Amino acid sequence: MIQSFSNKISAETGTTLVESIVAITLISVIMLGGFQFFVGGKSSINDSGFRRLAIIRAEERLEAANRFEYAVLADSLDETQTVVNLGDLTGLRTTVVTATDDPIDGLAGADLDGDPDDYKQITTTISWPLGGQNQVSLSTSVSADYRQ
Amino acid sequence: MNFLKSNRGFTLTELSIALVISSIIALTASVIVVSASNNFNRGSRQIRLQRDVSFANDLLTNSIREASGGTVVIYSDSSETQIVNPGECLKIGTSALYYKSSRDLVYKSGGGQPQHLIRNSIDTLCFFYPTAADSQNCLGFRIALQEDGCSVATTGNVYFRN
Repeated sequence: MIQSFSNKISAETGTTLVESIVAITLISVIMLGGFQFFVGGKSSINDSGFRRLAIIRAEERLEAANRFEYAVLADSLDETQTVVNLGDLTGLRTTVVTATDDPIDGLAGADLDGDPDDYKQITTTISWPLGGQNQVSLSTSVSADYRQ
Repeated sequence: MNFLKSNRGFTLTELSIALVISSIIALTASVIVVSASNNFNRGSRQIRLQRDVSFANDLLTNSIREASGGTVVIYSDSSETQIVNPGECLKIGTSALYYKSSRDLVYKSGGGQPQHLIRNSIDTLCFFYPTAADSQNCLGFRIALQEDGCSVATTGNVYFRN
């Protein structure tokens, strides 16, 4: 018994090169995988922060529609790539006002009140560069009576 | 089982090497654990701040939007003595009061108890009239939240509905 144990102790068979390479590769793959959780988590938290601020900026623009008369909405609100502040980043805001012809009262010349401009759709899009282009877009429709 | 009784122990060198290796492993592991926990805490703080700034923004936007021009007053603080522009305290109508108290966002209605809506993270709360000409129509506010190295801020201009 003593003999066999001392044999075992003095046996000089360690791990082979292949074994240790496999072990090291496995460990580094696992650690890299774990590390990705941190990197991914942090960047998605950042991303959600910018998204929230972008939504607030877009809401603010739609809010501004309240100031203007219906007739001048397009002239007052239309904008292309205005720089807005998103905390640590700057975003670009584009607002488009389009007249919409609602088929419910007839289309174009067949409109009951003779006016094909039934309501205006205001769309605000904010984009910001962070690992590719991100964007949020909000839109609302207003009729000529919206200020009353 | 005689070998258990064998007197052959570990040599000092063996012990030292084992000790050094295990302490290196333990140190590395603790560094990883500490940085993971820091990262986690930082992430949850940042998320909490984002949630709070969103909440404050919605709350103030909705309250200001429902107000009428001329019924909104900006005070320097909650004692409602000094009318200023910009200021840290906003009174809407006759009762609703939003103000910053130390690092809290506080809401008070009439003679009611102050309610601390957001605690220990408000760095800046500022109400102002964006343009003098628009002071009857529009009110701006700025909120900045900051806590242990995490921060988030936003501004908003809100137009009165009435």
